[in-house]
Amino acid sequence: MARTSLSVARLPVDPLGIIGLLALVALWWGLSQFHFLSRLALPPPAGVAAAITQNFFSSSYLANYHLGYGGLAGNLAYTISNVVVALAVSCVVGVALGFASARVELFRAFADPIMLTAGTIPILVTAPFFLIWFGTSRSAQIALLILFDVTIVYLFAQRAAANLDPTYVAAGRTLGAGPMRIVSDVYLKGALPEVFGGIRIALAGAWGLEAFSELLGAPKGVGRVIQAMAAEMDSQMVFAAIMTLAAVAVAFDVAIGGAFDFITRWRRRARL
Amino acid sequence: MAEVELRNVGQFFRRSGGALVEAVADVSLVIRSHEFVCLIGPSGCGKTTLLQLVAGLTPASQGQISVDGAAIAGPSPERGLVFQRDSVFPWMRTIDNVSYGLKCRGVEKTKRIEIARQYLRQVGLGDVERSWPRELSGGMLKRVAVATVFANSPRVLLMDEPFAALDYVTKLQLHQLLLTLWEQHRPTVLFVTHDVDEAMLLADRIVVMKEGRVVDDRKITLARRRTVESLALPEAVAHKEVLLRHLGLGELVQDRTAPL
Repeated sequence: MARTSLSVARLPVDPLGIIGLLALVALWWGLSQFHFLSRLALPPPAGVAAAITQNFFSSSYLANYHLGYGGLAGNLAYTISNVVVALAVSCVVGVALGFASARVELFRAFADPIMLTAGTIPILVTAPFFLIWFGTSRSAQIALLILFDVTIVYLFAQRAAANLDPTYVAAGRTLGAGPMRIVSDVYLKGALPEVFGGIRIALAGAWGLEAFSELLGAPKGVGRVIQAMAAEMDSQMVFAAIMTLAAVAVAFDVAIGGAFDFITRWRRRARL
Repeated sequence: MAEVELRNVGQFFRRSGGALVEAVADVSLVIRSHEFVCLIGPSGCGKTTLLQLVAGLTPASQGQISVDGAAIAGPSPERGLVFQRDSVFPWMRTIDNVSYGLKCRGVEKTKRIEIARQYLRQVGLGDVERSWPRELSGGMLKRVAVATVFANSPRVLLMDEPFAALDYVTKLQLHQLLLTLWEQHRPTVLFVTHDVDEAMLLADRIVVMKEGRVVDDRKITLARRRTVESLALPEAVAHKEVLLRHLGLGELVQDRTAPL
């Protein structure tokens, strides 16, 4: 008889995480309410919430600073699209190079030093070079993110493919799988859990890096909003921009974590 | 027909220190069509290496291996292999594992699912076709592996200590299942084991390897299906004594020349 596998509904978010988040908001509210810090240093949560709702879908206030008429949402869309495009490119390139380096020793000898060097470059220091190479277009931000993401995805993909039990590859070959099927049905599927881990780490770091890279001449984006509002000493809007970006990052992580969990449901432990 | 012939087959590899190791040395062997041959020998004697050479997973350093006169060149679904370690893909449901070989060969989906279901029923797993491998026990996984290989209709079946990690009862059940499938489909079998009783129960012929070489090759003519009683017959006991001596277990064999 098969071992029991109860289909207990899995919560996409840890309840303890929500409690922690609520505790943080409560602390923030307490600190601002009892004036431990000035409103400039720490605006109250209610004020930040109001700034978000008033400037979310359209904002003439932000338009005054050449940040478009789309409000926070328009700037978020710019930031999100850069992060998503860079991650998609990095997944394709990083996984392909990682698998190739795990399988072909000669390629590994060639690719490892390049990727490891890329991984040790202080990414923020290189940002001005991207501005010089790509100008103020979004290509500069995307290229910077790709440099960051692709190294992480490459290392995770390489390790996953190298760690895959060779018995699975041998089994596939004796069952009649050709080289393409071995890559798609054995390496890719077997390595997915570890590769997904790398993608989540790359994504988590990409939000902050994208916001930073937007400071270097991007036409818009959440980073630009933060920069413009900080120059105006409008800490309420700075917090509003940070909060919306954090909410988007968390939502993406939860959604991607859920999707990855579903795709790799074959490895979920049976709950007895 | 699937006659396997090994002619002067050798396999060498270098240890990290640079020393040349002869894992298989000048092995010549003919396994006739439909024959069930067990390859037995102490650990490290080259049994698994030889099996992998016949599977085509590793090219031989010297000599030639052929099936029905055609030299082998790499792995082929015609030579199915059941591994000692778990080889069932954990990321595929049971039915998808069993039908995978057929998918690789381009068999249409409805047909391959029908064939896979038939083999799953035959190995007693008809009710778990949608289960993930992690939901199955070790014995069930071996049944899936056996069904997967038989579903691919191999002409030669290679088995590398497939039941070594199983408990006694499960192992005996799987022996009976394997014999049933072999009697129905009659592939030529090369079965690696270091279990003398297992070899005596299954084999038409037992080939003994030591230090990479074939040192004994004996026909087992006991009537099939073999039982506990048939394995206690004088012929069986005589074979077992010789095999145990080959495995370095002579002290377990009664010295017939000594006074009782």
